[in-house]
Amino acid sequence: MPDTLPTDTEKKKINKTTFVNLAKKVRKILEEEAEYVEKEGKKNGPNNTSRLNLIT
Amino acid sequence: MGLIIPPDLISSLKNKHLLLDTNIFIDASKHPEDFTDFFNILKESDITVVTIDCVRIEFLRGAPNENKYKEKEDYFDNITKIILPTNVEIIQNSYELVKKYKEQGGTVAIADLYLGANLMKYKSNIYLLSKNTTELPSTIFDLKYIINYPLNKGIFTYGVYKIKS
Repeated sequence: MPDTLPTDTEKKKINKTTFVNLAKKVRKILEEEAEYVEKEGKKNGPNNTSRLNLIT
Repeated sequence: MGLIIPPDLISSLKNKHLLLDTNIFIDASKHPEDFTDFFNILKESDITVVTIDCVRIEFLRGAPNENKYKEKEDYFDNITKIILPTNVEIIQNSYELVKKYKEQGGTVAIADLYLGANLMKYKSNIYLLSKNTTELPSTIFDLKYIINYPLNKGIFTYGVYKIKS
């Protein structure tokens, strides 16, 4: 018998203002991380972040 | 302008699950207004947005300190808190996928294999949304829909996939 998929019982909508604020912070963090990865990549050779396409 | 959703995508996915790849969480942080609208359309339409631990880990890794980790976690959980379990069946399906990918599997990330393994497990009840279209070959996956997202410069394209039956 196949496993049942969990359903979203809350069906809570995303609050745009809250989400946009969180996203701004996250975007900054991802940029910092991408800089770090780029710097380390130059030091250590090829890195494996291409799948995520952090820097666009 | 927002994401251009194909006309019958929503009705086809009603009461089903949409599995998100890591690149969706990343792109949503770049364009949160449009992605909020998109996610809320899904929620209103009884489409359950889910993901897997592998994607969550891939997204959270690299956080330079605990505060930033928490901010990333809060953001991620705002999109979905529903994580599908990674169990023995998922691992077994991943091995099956490795065989199916053949030589193409050499460049495939573990997260892609686990996403595919979930499509294999839940079959007609789940679709995958991903921007990483090069790692989802048509020999294994059916591209059911394309979502385009026109931007000031360029267009992002996302595929909505099912496992080939």
